[in-house]
Amino acid sequence: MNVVSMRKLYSRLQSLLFASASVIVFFILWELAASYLQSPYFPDPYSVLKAFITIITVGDIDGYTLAWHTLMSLERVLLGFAVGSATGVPIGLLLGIKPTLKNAVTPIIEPIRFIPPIAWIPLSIVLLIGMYRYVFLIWVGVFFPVLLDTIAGVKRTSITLIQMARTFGADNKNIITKIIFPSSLPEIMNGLRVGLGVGWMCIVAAEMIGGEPVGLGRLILKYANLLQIDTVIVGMITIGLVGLAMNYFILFLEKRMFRWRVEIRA
Amino acid sequence: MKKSIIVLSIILIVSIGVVAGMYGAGLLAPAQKVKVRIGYLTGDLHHLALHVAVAKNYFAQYGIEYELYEYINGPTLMQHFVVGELDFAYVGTPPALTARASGIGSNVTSLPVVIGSGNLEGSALVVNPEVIKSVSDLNNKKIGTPGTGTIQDVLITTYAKNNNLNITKYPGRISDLPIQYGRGEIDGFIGWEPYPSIAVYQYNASVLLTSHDIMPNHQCCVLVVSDKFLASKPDIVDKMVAIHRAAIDFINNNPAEAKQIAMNVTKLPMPVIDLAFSHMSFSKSVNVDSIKAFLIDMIRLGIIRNVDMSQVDSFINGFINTKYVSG
Repeated sequence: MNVVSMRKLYSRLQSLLFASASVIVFFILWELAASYLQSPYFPDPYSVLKAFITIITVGDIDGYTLAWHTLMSLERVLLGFAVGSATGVPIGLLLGIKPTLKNAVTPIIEPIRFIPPIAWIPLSIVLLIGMYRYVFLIWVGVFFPVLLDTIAGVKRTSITLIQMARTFGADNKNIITKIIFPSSLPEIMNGLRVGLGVGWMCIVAAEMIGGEPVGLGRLILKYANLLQIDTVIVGMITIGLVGLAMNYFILFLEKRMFRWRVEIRA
Repeated sequence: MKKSIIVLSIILIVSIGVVAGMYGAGLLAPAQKVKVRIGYLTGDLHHLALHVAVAKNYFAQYGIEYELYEYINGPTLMQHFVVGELDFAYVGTPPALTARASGIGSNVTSLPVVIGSGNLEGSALVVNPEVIKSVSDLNNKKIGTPGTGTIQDVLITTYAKNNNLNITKYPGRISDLPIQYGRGEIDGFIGWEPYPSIAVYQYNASVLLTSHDIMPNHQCCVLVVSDKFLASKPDIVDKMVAIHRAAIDFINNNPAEAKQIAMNVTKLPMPVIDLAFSHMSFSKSVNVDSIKAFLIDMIRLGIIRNVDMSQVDSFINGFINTKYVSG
Protein backbone atom coordinates (compact mmCIF):
# COMPACT_ATOMS: atom_id res chain seq x y z
CA MET A 1 0.00 0.00 0.00
CA ASN A 2 1.50 3.31 -1.03
CA VAL A 3 1.45 6.59 0.88
CA VAL A 4 -1.47 8.03 -1.09
CA SER A 5 -3.62 4.96 -0.40
CA MET A 6 -2.67 5.08 3.27
CA ARG A 7 -3.68 8.73 3.46
CA LYS A 8 -7.01 7.98 1.77
CA LEU A 9 -7.70 5.13 4.17
CA TYR A 10 -6.75 7.28 7.16
CA SER A 11 -9.02 10.06 5.93
CA ARG A 12 -11.93 7.65 5.49
CA LEU A 13 -11.43 6.15 8.94
CA GLN A 14 -11.30 9.62 10.44
CA SER A 15 -14.57 10.58 8.72
CA LEU A 16 -16.20 7.37 9.93
CA LEU A 17 -15.02 8.03 13.46
CA PHE A 18 -16.38 11.58 13.49
CA ALA A 19 -19.68 10.46 11.96
CA SER A 20 -20.06 7.69 14.58
CA ALA A 21 -19.19 10.08 17.39
CA SER A 22 -21.80 12.61 16.24
CA VAL A 23 -24.47 9.88 16.07
CA ILE A 24 -23.58 8.75 19.61
CA VAL A 25 -23.66 12.33 20.89
CA PHE A 26 -27.06 12.81 19.22
CA PHE A 27 -28.50 9.77 20.99
CA ILE A 28 -27.02 10.85 24.35
CA LEU A 29 -28.58 14.32 23.96
CA TRP A 30 -31.90 12.74 22.98
CA GLU A 31 -31.81 10.46 26.04
CA LEU A 32 -30.93 13.39 28.32
CA ALA A 33 -33.74 15.53 26.88
CA ALA A 34 -36.24 12.68 27.35
CA SER A 35 -35.09 12.12 30.97
CA TYR A 36 -35.36 15.84 31.68
CA LEU A 37 -38.78 16.36 30.07
CA GLN A 38 -40.37 13.16 31.42
CA SER A 39 -43.18 13.64 28.91
CA PRO A 40 -45.21 10.80 27.40
CA TYR A 41 -45.04 12.82 24.19
CA PHE A 42 -41.24 12.84 24.04
CA PRO A 43 -40.14 9.19 24.15
CA ASP A 44 -36.55 8.09 24.78
CA PRO A 45 -34.49 6.26 22.12
CA TYR A 46 -35.13 2.87 23.73
CA SER A 47 -38.95 3.29 23.47
CA VAL A 48 -38.54 4.22 19.82
CA LEU A 49 -36.34 1.18 19.24
CA LYS A 50 -39.01 -1.06 20.79
CA ALA A 51 -41.67 0.57 18.59
CA PHE A 52 -39.39 0.01 15.57
CA ILE A 53 -39.14 -3.70 16.34
CA THR A 54 -42.90 -4.01 16.89
CA ILE A 55 -43.81 -2.24 13.66
CA ILE A 56 -41.28 -4.31 11.68
CA THR A 57 -42.24 -7.68 13.14
CA VAL A 58 -45.91 -7.37 14.13
CA GLY A 59 -47.14 -4.38 12.13
CA ASP A 60 -49.32 -1.42 13.09
CA ILE A 61 -52.75 -1.61 14.70
CA ASP A 62 -54.26 -2.50 11.32
CA GLY A 63 -51.61 -5.15 10.67
CA TYR A 64 -49.51 -3.27 8.07
CA THR A 65 -45.75 -3.69 8.60
CA LEU A 66 -43.12 -0.97 8.23
CA ALA A 67 -41.83 -2.61 5.04
CA TRP A 68 -45.30 -2.43 3.52
CA HIS A 69 -45.74 1.24 4.48
CA THR A 70 -42.30 2.06 3.03
CA LEU A 71 -42.85 0.12 -0.21
CA MET A 72 -46.20 1.80 -0.84
CA SER A 73 -44.72 5.26 -0.34
CA LEU A 74 -41.75 4.38 -2.55
CA GLU A 75 -43.99 3.04 -5.30
CA ARG A 76 -46.01 6.27 -5.34
CA VAL A 77 -43.00 8.52 -5.27
CA LEU A 78 -41.12 6.62 -7.98
CA LEU A 79 -44.14 6.65 -10.29
CA GLY A 80 -44.59 10.38 -9.79
CA PHE A 81 -40.87 10.90 -10.20
CA ALA A 82 -40.88 8.97 -13.48
CA VAL A 83 -43.70 11.11 -14.87
CA GLY A 84 -42.09 14.31 -13.54
CA SER A 85 -38.74 13.53 -15.15
CA ALA A 86 -40.28 12.30 -18.40
CA THR A 87 -42.06 15.64 -18.78
CA GLY A 88 -39.56 17.99 -17.11
CA VAL A 89 -36.49 17.03 -19.16
CA PRO A 90 -37.94 17.30 -22.71
CA ILE A 91 -39.90 20.45 -21.93
CA GLY A 92 -36.81 21.93 -20.26
CA LEU A 93 -34.70 21.12 -23.32
CA LEU A 94 -37.31 22.65 -25.61
CA LEU A 95 -37.60 25.84 -23.55
CA GLY A 96 -33.82 26.07 -23.20
CA ILE A 97 -33.30 25.77 -26.94
CA LYS A 98 -36.18 28.09 -27.87
CA PRO A 99 -35.86 31.25 -25.75
CA THR A 100 -38.85 32.84 -27.50
CA LEU A 101 -41.06 29.96 -26.41
CA LYS A 102 -39.61 30.17 -22.90
CA ASN A 103 -40.43 33.88 -22.72
CA ALA A 104 -43.96 33.13 -23.90
CA VAL A 105 -44.66 30.50 -21.23
CA THR A 106 -42.78 32.15 -18.36
CA PRO A 107 -45.83 34.15 -17.16
CA ILE A 108 -47.68 30.84 -16.76
CA ILE A 109 -44.90 28.65 -15.40
CA GLU A 110 -43.39 31.08 -12.90
CA PRO A 111 -46.49 31.69 -10.73
CA ILE A 112 -47.45 28.00 -10.82
CA ARG A 113 -43.94 27.08 -9.72
CA PHE A 114 -44.46 28.92 -6.45
CA ILE A 115 -47.64 27.03 -5.54
CA PRO A 116 -46.45 24.38 -3.07
CA PRO A 117 -47.51 20.81 -3.90
CA ILE A 118 -49.49 20.64 -0.65
CA ALA A 119 -51.73 23.47 -1.88
CA TRP A 120 -52.80 21.21 -4.77
CA ILE A 121 -54.14 18.54 -2.42
CA PRO A 122 -57.76 19.76 -2.12
CA LEU A 123 -58.03 20.06 -5.91
CA SER A 124 -56.46 16.65 -6.41
CA ILE A 125 -58.96 15.07 -4.00
CA VAL A 126 -61.96 16.27 -5.98
CA LEU A 127 -60.44 15.74 -9.44
CA LEU A 128 -58.33 12.59 -9.18
CA ILE A 129 -58.63 9.10 -7.79
CA GLY A 130 -56.21 6.94 -5.80
CA MET A 131 -52.77 6.54 -7.36
CA TYR A 132 -53.39 9.27 -9.97
CA ARG A 133 -53.73 11.74 -7.11
CA TYR A 134 -50.36 10.80 -5.65
CA VAL A 135 -48.65 10.73 -9.04
CA PHE A 136 -49.98 14.22 -9.77
CA LEU A 137 -48.81 15.62 -6.42
CA ILE A 138 -45.35 14.10 -6.83
CA TRP A 139 -45.24 15.38 -10.39
CA VAL A 140 -45.86 18.93 -9.14
CA GLY A 141 -42.93 18.52 -6.77
CA VAL A 142 -40.56 16.93 -9.30
CA PHE A 143 -41.42 18.76 -12.52
CA PHE A 144 -40.25 22.29 -11.69
CA PRO A 145 -36.77 21.55 -10.29
CA VAL A 146 -36.12 19.22 -13.26
CA LEU A 147 -37.46 21.78 -15.74
CA LEU A 148 -35.46 24.69 -14.37
CA ASP A 149 -32.21 22.75 -14.04
CA THR A 150 -32.61 21.40 -17.58
CA ILE A 151 -33.09 24.93 -18.92
CA ALA A 152 -30.02 26.03 -16.94
CA GLY A 153 -28.05 23.09 -18.34
CA VAL A 154 -28.96 24.03 -21.92
CA LYS A 155 -27.92 27.64 -21.28
CA ARG A 156 -24.53 26.51 -19.98
CA THR A 157 -23.72 24.55 -23.12
CA SER A 158 -20.53 25.93 -24.66
CA ILE A 159 -21.34 28.11 -27.63
CA THR A 160 -17.90 27.26 -29.08
CA LEU A 161 -18.86 23.57 -29.25
CA ILE A 162 -22.12 24.38 -31.02
CA GLN A 163 -20.40 26.69 -33.50
CA MET A 164 -17.70 24.13 -34.15
CA ALA A 165 -20.31 21.44 -34.82
CA ARG A 166 -22.14 23.75 -37.22
CA THR A 167 -18.84 24.48 -39.03
CA PHE A 168 -18.43 20.75 -39.54
CA GLY A 169 -21.96 20.54 -40.97
CA ALA A 170 -23.95 19.20 -38.01
CA ASP A 171 -27.72 19.70 -38.28
CA ASN A 172 -30.01 20.83 -35.41
CA LYS A 173 -30.91 17.25 -34.47
CA ASN A 174 -27.25 16.31 -34.11
CA ILE A 175 -26.45 19.45 -32.15
CA ILE A 176 -29.28 18.74 -29.69
CA THR A 177 -28.63 15.03 -29.24
CA LYS A 178 -24.80 15.04 -29.46
CA ILE A 179 -23.91 18.36 -27.80
CA ILE A 180 -26.68 20.14 -25.90
CA PHE A 181 -28.25 17.12 -24.19
CA PRO A 182 -24.98 15.48 -22.99
CA SER A 183 -23.66 18.86 -21.90
CA SER A 184 -26.85 19.52 -19.86
CA LEU A 185 -26.80 16.12 -18.16
CA PRO A 186 -25.02 17.23 -14.95
CA GLU A 187 -27.63 19.97 -14.37
CA ILE A 188 -30.44 17.58 -15.31
CA MET A 189 -29.09 15.09 -12.79
CA ASN A 190 -29.00 17.80 -10.15
CA GLY A 191 -32.62 18.67 -10.96
CA LEU A 192 -33.60 15.01 -10.66
CA ARG A 193 -31.91 14.77 -7.26
CA VAL A 194 -33.65 17.90 -5.97
CA GLY A 195 -36.95 16.78 -7.54
CA LEU A 196 -36.76 13.37 -5.93
CA GLY A 197 -36.19 14.99 -2.53
CA VAL A 198 -39.13 17.33 -3.00
CA GLY A 199 -41.26 14.43 -4.27
CA TRP A 200 -40.44 12.40 -1.20
CA MET A 201 -41.52 15.26 1.02
CA CYS A 202 -44.73 15.67 -0.97
CA ILE A 203 -45.75 12.03 -0.72
CA VAL A 204 -45.66 12.13 3.06
CA ALA A 205 -47.92 15.20 3.17
CA ALA A 206 -50.23 13.74 0.51
CA GLU A 207 -50.57 10.45 2.38
CA MET A 208 -51.51 12.28 5.52
CA ILE A 209 -54.51 13.79 3.77
CA GLY A 210 -55.42 11.25 1.10
CA GLY A 211 -57.55 8.24 1.90
CA GLU A 212 -55.11 5.35 1.47
CA PRO A 213 -54.60 3.19 4.58
CA VAL A 214 -50.91 2.47 3.91
CA GLY A 215 -47.84 4.68 3.49
CA LEU A 216 -45.32 6.32 5.79
CA GLY A 217 -47.31 9.57 5.98
CA ARG A 218 -50.39 7.60 6.97
CA LEU A 219 -48.41 5.63 9.56
CA ILE A 220 -47.30 8.88 11.21
CA LEU A 221 -50.79 10.35 11.21
CA LYS A 222 -52.33 7.13 12.49
CA TYR A 223 -50.10 7.06 15.54
CA ALA A 224 -50.25 10.83 16.08
CA ASN A 225 -54.02 10.31 16.36
CA LEU A 226 -53.41 7.69 19.03
CA LEU A 227 -50.83 9.92 20.78
CA GLN A 228 -48.29 7.07 20.52
CA ILE A 229 -45.37 9.27 19.64
CA ASP A 230 -42.73 6.50 19.71
CA THR A 231 -44.24 5.03 16.52
CA VAL A 232 -44.61 8.52 15.02
CA ILE A 233 -40.84 8.89 15.42
CA VAL A 234 -40.34 5.47 13.81
CA GLY A 235 -42.15 6.80 10.74
CA MET A 236 -40.12 10.01 10.77
CA ILE A 237 -36.80 8.17 11.04
CA THR A 238 -37.77 5.82 8.21
CA ILE A 239 -38.66 8.76 5.98
CA GLY A 240 -35.30 10.36 6.75
CA LEU A 241 -33.35 7.16 6.08
CA VAL A 242 -35.14 6.36 2.81
CA GLY A 243 -34.73 9.98 1.64
CA LEU A 244 -31.03 9.84 2.50
CA ALA A 245 -30.60 6.53 0.67
CA MET A 246 -32.29 7.90 -2.45
CA ASN A 247 -30.15 11.03 -2.36
CA TYR A 248 -26.94 8.98 -2.05
CA PHE A 249 -28.07 6.72 -4.87
CA ILE A 250 -28.41 9.66 -7.26
CA LEU A 251 -25.13 11.18 -6.03
CA PHE A 252 -23.48 7.82 -6.71
CA LEU A 253 -24.93 7.78 -10.23
CA GLU A 254 -23.75 11.35 -10.76
CA LYS A 255 -20.23 10.44 -9.72
CA ARG A 256 -20.18 7.44 -12.02
CA MET A 257 -21.60 9.31 -14.99
CA PHE A 258 -19.71 12.56 -14.72
CA ARG A 259 -16.24 11.70 -13.49
CA TRP A 260 -14.92 14.43 -15.77
CA ARG A 261 -16.70 17.16 -13.82
CA VAL A 262 -14.40 19.00 -11.44
CA GLU A 263 -17.19 19.78 -8.94
CA ILE A 264 -18.17 16.11 -8.74
CA ARG A 265 -14.64 14.88 -8.28
CA ALA A 266 -14.22 17.44 -5.51
CA MET B 1 -27.83 72.28 28.05
CA LYS B 2 -26.63 69.24 26.14
CA LYS B 3 -26.32 67.25 29.40
CA SER B 4 -29.84 68.07 30.50
CA ILE B 5 -31.23 66.94 27.12
CA ILE B 6 -29.40 63.62 27.48
CA VAL B 7 -30.66 63.15 31.06
CA LEU B 8 -34.22 64.05 30.03
CA SER B 9 -34.03 61.61 27.10
CA ILE B 10 -32.84 58.80 29.36
CA ILE B 11 -35.65 59.52 31.87
CA LEU B 12 -38.19 59.54 29.04
CA ILE B 13 -36.94 56.27 27.55
CA VAL B 14 -36.84 54.55 30.96
CA SER B 15 -40.36 55.81 31.78
CA ILE B 16 -41.73 54.52 28.49
CA GLY B 17 -40.01 51.17 29.13
CA VAL B 18 -41.45 50.90 32.67
CA VAL B 19 -44.98 51.79 31.53
CA ALA B 20 -44.77 49.38 28.60
CA GLY B 21 -43.46 46.63 30.87
CA MET B 22 -46.23 47.17 33.44
CA TYR B 23 -48.85 47.17 30.68
CA GLY B 24 -47.37 44.03 29.19
CA ALA B 25 -47.46 42.35 32.58
CA GLY B 26 -51.13 43.27 32.89
CA LEU B 27 -50.59 45.63 35.85
CA LEU B 28 -52.10 48.63 34.12
CA ALA B 29 -54.74 46.83 32.08
CA PRO B 30 -58.31 46.82 33.30
CA ALA B 31 -59.47 43.60 35.01
CA GLN B 32 -60.28 41.21 32.14
CA LYS B 33 -62.86 38.48 31.93
CA VAL B 34 -61.54 34.97 31.55
CA LYS B 35 -61.57 33.91 27.94
CA VAL B 36 -62.12 30.18 27.53
CA ARG B 37 -60.78 28.27 24.56
CA ILE B 38 -63.23 25.72 23.18
CA GLY B 39 -62.42 23.07 20.57
CA TYR B 40 -64.97 21.36 18.35
CA LEU B 41 -65.10 19.38 15.12
CA THR B 42 -65.75 20.44 11.54
CA GLY B 43 -69.45 20.39 10.68
CA ASP B 44 -70.27 17.97 13.50
CA LEU B 45 -73.94 18.11 14.42
CA HIS B 46 -73.10 16.26 17.65
CA HIS B 47 -71.73 19.59 18.83
CA LEU B 48 -75.00 21.38 18.22
CA ALA B 49 -75.16 22.40 21.90
CA LEU B 50 -72.13 24.61 21.30
CA HIS B 51 -73.65 26.20 18.20
CA VAL B 52 -76.96 26.75 20.02
CA ALA B 53 -75.12 28.38 22.93
CA VAL B 54 -73.39 30.72 20.48
CA ALA B 55 -76.56 31.46 18.50
CA LYS B 56 -78.67 32.08 21.61
CA ASN B 57 -75.95 34.19 23.24
CA TYR B 58 -75.73 31.97 26.34
CA PHE B 59 -72.04 32.71 26.84
CA ALA B 60 -72.65 36.45 27.19
CA GLN B 61 -75.56 35.79 29.52
CA TYR B 62 -73.23 33.88 31.83
CA GLY B 63 -70.44 36.44 31.45
CA ILE B 64 -68.09 34.06 29.63
CA GLU B 65 -65.82 35.18 26.82
CA TYR B 66 -64.78 32.44 24.44
CA GLU B 67 -62.68 31.56 21.44
CA LEU B 68 -63.64 28.67 19.17
CA TYR B 69 -61.13 26.35 17.51
CA GLU B 70 -62.19 23.93 14.78
CA TYR B 71 -60.48 20.57 14.08
CA ILE B 72 -60.88 17.89 11.44
CA ASN B 73 -61.40 15.03 13.90
CA GLY B 74 -61.35 14.18 17.58
CA PRO B 75 -57.81 12.76 17.76
CA THR B 76 -56.39 15.90 16.10
CA LEU B 77 -58.33 18.07 18.53
CA MET B 78 -56.99 16.05 21.45
CA GLN B 79 -53.38 16.50 20.28
CA HIS B 80 -53.91 20.23 20.80
CA PHE B 81 -55.84 19.70 24.03
CA VAL B 82 -53.19 17.70 25.90
CA VAL B 83 -50.53 20.33 25.27
CA GLY B 84 -52.73 22.97 26.87
CA GLU B 85 -54.00 24.84 23.82
CA LEU B 86 -57.65 24.33 24.80
CA ASP B 87 -59.64 24.58 28.03
CA PHE B 88 -62.84 22.85 26.91
CA ALA B 89 -63.72 20.60 23.99
CA TYR B 90 -66.65 18.91 22.37
CA VAL B 91 -65.20 15.60 21.26
CA GLY B 92 -65.98 11.91 20.76
CA THR B 93 -65.53 9.63 23.75
CA PRO B 94 -62.71 7.44 22.30
CA PRO B 95 -60.35 10.32 21.44
CA ALA B 96 -60.89 11.74 24.92
CA LEU B 97 -60.18 8.30 26.44
CA THR B 98 -57.02 7.95 24.33
CA ALA B 99 -55.82 11.39 25.37
CA ARG B 100 -56.39 10.78 29.08
CA ALA B 101 -54.73 7.36 28.89
CA SER B 102 -51.74 8.81 27.03
CA GLY B 103 -50.86 11.14 29.87
CA ILE B 104 -52.02 9.21 32.89
CA GLY B 105 -49.33 8.94 35.58
CA SER B 106 -47.20 11.62 33.91
CA ASN B 107 -46.66 15.32 34.50
CA VAL B 108 -49.17 16.30 31.79
CA THR B 109 -51.74 18.60 33.39
CA SER B 110 -54.12 19.17 30.50
CA LEU B 111 -55.86 15.82 30.40
CA PRO B 112 -59.57 15.72 29.60
CA VAL B 113 -62.29 15.19 32.21
CA VAL B 114 -65.91 14.64 31.16
CA ILE B 115 -68.29 17.31 32.48
CA GLY B 116 -71.20 16.94 30.06
CA SER B 117 -72.86 14.69 27.52
CA GLY B 118 -72.88 15.99 23.96
CA ASN B 119 -75.06 13.35 22.38
CA LEU B 120 -75.84 9.66 22.26
CA GLU B 121 -75.38 7.57 19.07
CA GLY B 122 -75.33 9.80 15.97
CA SER B 123 -73.04 7.96 13.53
CA ALA B 124 -73.98 5.83 10.55
CA LEU B 125 -72.36 3.45 8.08
CA VAL B 126 -73.54 4.35 4.59
CA VAL B 127 -72.83 2.12 1.62
CA ASN B 128 -73.44 1.67 -2.06
CA PRO B 129 -76.70 -0.32 -2.03
CA GLU B 130 -75.85 -1.99 -5.33
CA VAL B 131 -72.62 -3.45 -3.95
CA ILE B 132 -73.44 -3.98 -0.28
CA LYS B 133 -76.88 -5.30 0.49
CA SER B 134 -76.23 -6.92 3.85
CA VAL B 135 -73.63 -6.92 6.60
CA SER B 136 -71.90 -10.00 5.17
CA ASP B 137 -71.28 -8.05 1.94
CA LEU B 138 -68.91 -5.78 3.90
CA ASN B 139 -66.26 -8.48 3.60
CA ASN B 140 -63.24 -7.30 1.61
CA LYS B 141 -64.75 -3.88 1.00
CA LYS B 142 -63.15 -0.45 1.33
CA ILE B 143 -64.80 1.50 4.12
CA GLY B 144 -63.88 5.09 4.85
CA THR B 145 -63.49 6.37 8.40
CA PRO B 146 -62.78 9.90 9.69
CA GLY B 147 -59.41 8.77 11.06
CA THR B 148 -57.75 6.24 13.31
CA GLY B 149 -58.90 6.55 16.90
CA THR B 150 -62.17 8.34 16.14
CA ILE B 151 -65.37 6.94 17.62
CA GLN B 152 -66.45 5.76 14.17
CA ASP B 153 -63.12 3.99 13.64
CA VAL B 154 -63.44 2.22 16.99
CA LEU B 155 -67.08 1.27 16.30
CA ILE B 156 -66.43 -0.22 12.85
CA THR B 157 -63.20 -1.97 13.90
CA THR B 158 -64.90 -3.58 16.88
CA TYR B 159 -67.96 -4.48 14.81
CA ALA B 160 -65.82 -6.09 12.10
CA LYS B 161 -63.83 -8.04 14.68
CA ASN B 162 -66.94 -9.27 16.50
CA ASN B 163 -68.55 -10.35 13.23
CA ASN B 164 -65.43 -11.85 11.59
CA LEU B 165 -65.52 -9.32 8.77
CA ASN B 166 -62.41 -8.38 6.84
CA ILE B 167 -62.75 -4.76 5.83
CA THR B 168 -60.09 -2.34 4.58
CA LYS B 169 -60.41 0.97 6.37
CA TYR B 170 -59.72 4.12 4.35
CA PRO B 171 -59.06 6.93 6.80
CA GLY B 172 -59.72 10.41 5.43
CA ARG B 173 -61.02 13.85 6.25
CA ILE B 174 -64.70 13.67 7.14
CA SER B 175 -65.60 16.30 4.54
CA ASP B 176 -63.82 14.27 1.83
CA LEU B 177 -65.55 10.97 2.63
CA PRO B 178 -68.84 11.70 0.79
CA ILE B 179 -66.79 12.92 -2.21
CA GLN B 180 -64.62 9.79 -2.21
CA TYR B 181 -67.76 7.69 -1.90
CA GLY B 182 -69.44 9.54 -4.76
CA ARG B 183 -66.38 8.94 -6.96
CA GLY B 184 -66.39 5.22 -6.19
CA GLU B 185 -63.05 5.23 -4.38
CA ILE B 186 -64.63 3.62 -1.34
CA ASP B 187 -67.61 1.28 -1.06
CA GLY B 188 -69.02 3.10 1.94
CA PHE B 189 -68.02 5.07 5.00
CA ILE B 190 -68.84 5.51 8.63
CA GLY B 191 -68.97 9.08 9.89
CA TRP B 192 -70.62 11.52 12.20
CA GLU B 193 -73.78 13.28 11.18
CA PRO B 194 -74.51 15.05 8.90
CA TYR B 195 -71.93 13.45 6.57
CA PRO B 196 -73.68 10.04 6.20
CA SER B 197 -76.91 11.92 5.50
CA ILE B 198 -75.11 14.04 2.88
CA ALA B 199 -74.06 10.81 1.12
CA VAL B 200 -77.64 9.54 1.24
CA TYR B 201 -79.04 12.82 -0.04
CA GLN B 202 -76.44 13.65 -2.69
CA TYR B 203 -75.00 10.29 -3.76
CA ASN B 204 -77.89 7.86 -3.23
CA ALA B 205 -76.03 5.95 -0.54
CA SER B 206 -78.07 3.89 1.87
CA VAL B 207 -77.69 3.48 5.61
CA LEU B 208 -76.54 -0.07 6.31
CA LEU B 209 -76.00 0.38 10.04
CA THR B 210 -76.48 3.21 12.46
CA SER B 211 -74.28 3.37 15.51
CA HIS B 212 -77.41 2.39 17.46
CA ASP B 213 -77.26 -0.97 15.65
CA ILE B 214 -73.60 -1.39 16.58
CA MET B 215 -73.83 -0.26 20.23
CA PRO B 216 -77.34 0.77 21.35
CA ASN B 217 -77.61 4.04 23.26
CA HIS B 218 -73.83 4.52 23.25
CA GLN B 219 -72.22 7.70 24.49
CA CYS B 220 -70.90 9.61 21.52
CA CYS B 221 -69.59 13.13 22.09
CA VAL B 222 -68.84 14.62 25.46
CA LEU B 223 -67.94 18.03 26.81
CA VAL B 224 -64.53 17.85 28.46
CA VAL B 225 -62.45 20.28 30.48
CA SER B 226 -58.75 20.04 31.23
CA ASP B 227 -57.68 18.85 34.69
CA LYS B 228 -55.72 22.06 35.11
CA PHE B 229 -58.60 24.37 34.25
CA LEU B 230 -61.00 22.40 36.44
CA ALA B 231 -58.67 22.76 39.42
CA SER B 232 -57.88 26.43 38.88
CA LYS B 233 -61.23 27.88 37.76
CA PRO B 234 -64.10 25.72 39.05
CA ASP B 235 -66.51 28.69 38.97
CA ILE B 236 -66.02 29.05 35.20
CA VAL B 237 -66.51 25.30 34.78
CA ASP B 238 -69.81 25.57 36.68
CA LYS B 239 -70.94 28.26 34.25
CA MET B 240 -69.81 26.29 31.19
CA VAL B 241 -71.75 23.24 32.38
CA ALA B 242 -74.83 25.42 32.98
CA ILE B 243 -74.53 26.86 29.46
CA HIS B 244 -74.13 23.40 27.95
CA ARG B 245 -77.12 21.98 29.82
CA ALA B 246 -79.26 24.97 28.85
CA ALA B 247 -78.30 24.39 25.20
CA ILE B 248 -79.18 20.67 25.39
CA ASP B 249 -82.57 21.61 26.92
CA PHE B 250 -83.10 24.12 24.14
CA ILE B 251 -82.42 21.47 21.45
CA ASN B 252 -84.87 19.02 23.02
CA ASN B 253 -87.58 21.61 23.70
CA ASN B 254 -87.25 23.50 20.40
CA PRO B 255 -86.24 20.94 17.76
CA ALA B 256 -87.44 23.07 14.85
CA GLU B 257 -85.36 26.06 15.88
CA ALA B 258 -82.40 23.80 16.73
CA LYS B 259 -82.58 22.33 13.23
CA GLN B 260 -82.62 25.84 11.81
CA ILE B 261 -79.44 26.64 13.77
CA ALA B 262 -77.91 23.39 12.47
CA MET B 263 -78.85 24.43 8.97
CA ASN B 264 -77.25 27.85 9.42
CA VAL B 265 -74.03 26.29 10.74
CA THR B 266 -73.67 23.55 8.13
CA LYS B 267 -75.31 25.37 5.17
CA LEU B 268 -77.08 22.10 4.35
CA PRO B 269 -80.69 21.71 3.15
CA MET B 270 -83.37 20.79 5.69
CA PRO B 271 -83.96 17.22 4.36
CA VAL B 272 -80.31 16.38 5.20
CA ILE B 273 -80.65 17.95 8.66
CA ASP B 274 -83.91 16.06 9.25
CA LEU B 275 -82.32 12.75 8.30
CA ALA B 276 -79.26 13.48 10.44
CA PHE B 277 -81.46 14.32 13.45
CA SER B 278 -83.20 10.96 13.15
CA HIS B 279 -79.87 9.26 13.98
CA MET B 280 -78.97 11.40 17.02
CA SER B 281 -80.25 12.06 20.50
CA PHE B 282 -79.19 14.85 22.83
CA SER B 283 -79.05 13.84 26.47
CA LYS B 284 -77.73 15.44 29.62
CA SER B 285 -76.98 12.02 31.10
CA VAL B 286 -73.76 10.21 30.32
CA ASN B 287 -73.92 6.52 29.45
CA VAL B 288 -71.09 5.38 31.72
CA ASP B 289 -71.44 1.71 30.77
CA SER B 290 -70.85 2.47 27.10
CA ILE B 291 -67.79 4.58 27.95
CA LYS B 292 -66.43 1.63 29.90
CA ALA B 293 -67.21 -0.66 26.95
CA PHE B 294 -65.33 1.69 24.62
CA LEU B 295 -62.33 1.68 26.95
CA ILE B 296 -62.27 -2.12 27.09
CA ASP B 297 -62.56 -2.37 23.28
CA MET B 298 -59.78 0.17 22.82
CA ILE B 299 -57.46 -1.71 25.16
CA ARG B 300 -58.20 -4.92 23.23
CA LEU B 301 -57.56 -3.23 19.88
CA GLY B 302 -54.21 -1.82 21.03
CA ILE B 303 -55.39 1.77 20.73
CA ILE B 304 -54.84 2.29 24.45
CA ARG B 305 -51.63 0.65 25.67
CA ASN B 306 -50.93 1.93 29.14
CA VAL B 307 -54.17 1.03 30.91
CA ASP B 308 -54.90 -2.61 31.62
CA MET B 309 -58.20 -4.34 32.30
CA SER B 310 -57.72 -4.23 36.07
CA GLN B 311 -57.53 -0.44 35.94
CA VAL B 312 -60.70 0.14 33.93
CA ASP B 313 -62.97 1.15 36.85
CA SER B 314 -60.47 3.47 38.49
CA PHE B 315 -59.67 5.04 35.11
CA ILE B 316 -63.35 5.70 34.40
CA ASN B 317 -63.76 7.25 37.89
CA GLY B 318 -61.03 9.75 37.06
CA PHE B 319 -62.33 10.35 33.54
CA ILE B 320 -65.91 11.27 34.46
CA ASN B 321 -66.53 14.06 36.95
CA THR B 322 -69.65 13.01 38.86
CA LYS B 323 -70.20 16.51 40.23
CA TYR B 324 -71.35 17.55 36.79
CA VAL B 325 -72.67 14.43 35.10
CA SER B 326 -74.95 11.65 36.21
CA GLY B 327 -74.98 8.20 34.73
